[in-house]
Amino acid sequence: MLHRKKFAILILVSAVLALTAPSAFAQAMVTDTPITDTIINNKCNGEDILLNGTLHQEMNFNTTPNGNTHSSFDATLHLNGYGGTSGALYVAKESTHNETNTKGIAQEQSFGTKIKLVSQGPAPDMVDRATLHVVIDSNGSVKQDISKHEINCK
Amino acid sequence: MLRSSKYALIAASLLLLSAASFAQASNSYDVNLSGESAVNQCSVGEPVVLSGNVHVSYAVTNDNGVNHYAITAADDLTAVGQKTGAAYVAGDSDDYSSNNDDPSADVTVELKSDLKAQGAAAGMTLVQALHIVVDTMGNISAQVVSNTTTCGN
Repeated sequence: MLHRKKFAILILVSAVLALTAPSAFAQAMVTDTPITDTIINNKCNGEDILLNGTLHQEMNFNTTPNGNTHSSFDATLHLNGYGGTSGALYVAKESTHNETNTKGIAQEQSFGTKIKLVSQGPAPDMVDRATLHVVIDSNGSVKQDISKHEINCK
Repeated sequence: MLRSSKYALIAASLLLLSAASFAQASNSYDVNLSGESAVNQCSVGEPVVLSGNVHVSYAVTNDNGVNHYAITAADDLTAVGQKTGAAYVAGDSDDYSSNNDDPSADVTVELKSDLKAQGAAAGMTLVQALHIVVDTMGNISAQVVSNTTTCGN
């Protein structure tokens, strides 16, 4: 029986990452987050789904001598889900890639994306329209979170 | 008297030129796709050729010296499967924002759309990478950098 905390699907990736970028911005910042026995509720049929998988995130910063910074933000999410009521299997395999060019390093960016939890049978799919929110201050400290969720049935 | 009239004429001309320049600036831009191929990364999918538009629009506001660019991208596309000849449609949108003190914002973002089959073929997800540059004067440029289809599983 699935009776753990219920989270919206993107709680998986909404754990706020507070990172400090290296002082010389020319390297990757990589974070791997395991997703273990996390329960979400499929809003499309009310079924609880047990999720396991990984979230891989990479951020790259390259600052040119004239002070312009090229930033890239990548995330890859792999999830396997098991329906607590129906026994249905679900899979999510999503990635997103965004880039910015800014003067200096300080910036605040929001990127819309979609994460689809695909049923491997007759159960309905679920789509989370999420907003990735990244804030980098003038000291190079990075915060990343999911600022918005909108669950839809496919 | 004649000199001041000349100055007034020059000032008026500059004002008109400035107004004309501003009028040419636009807060939206349509990227036309005609016969553009999408690379297939979906095991049950197929390569498709896309036709239609990607509409990019934005608004900019300033708050205490920080420019807030709010950008929306929306596609309205048809596609033809290159293996089956199946017809597909895509129509979706997403929002992006960039806050900084630059007079412009330069971002590359992804627009994900359901590519819905108009028959028995499997639907896919169309992922379009968009390079968008906007500024505080209303100028906008946008390119579709890549088109990819995925399954999501």
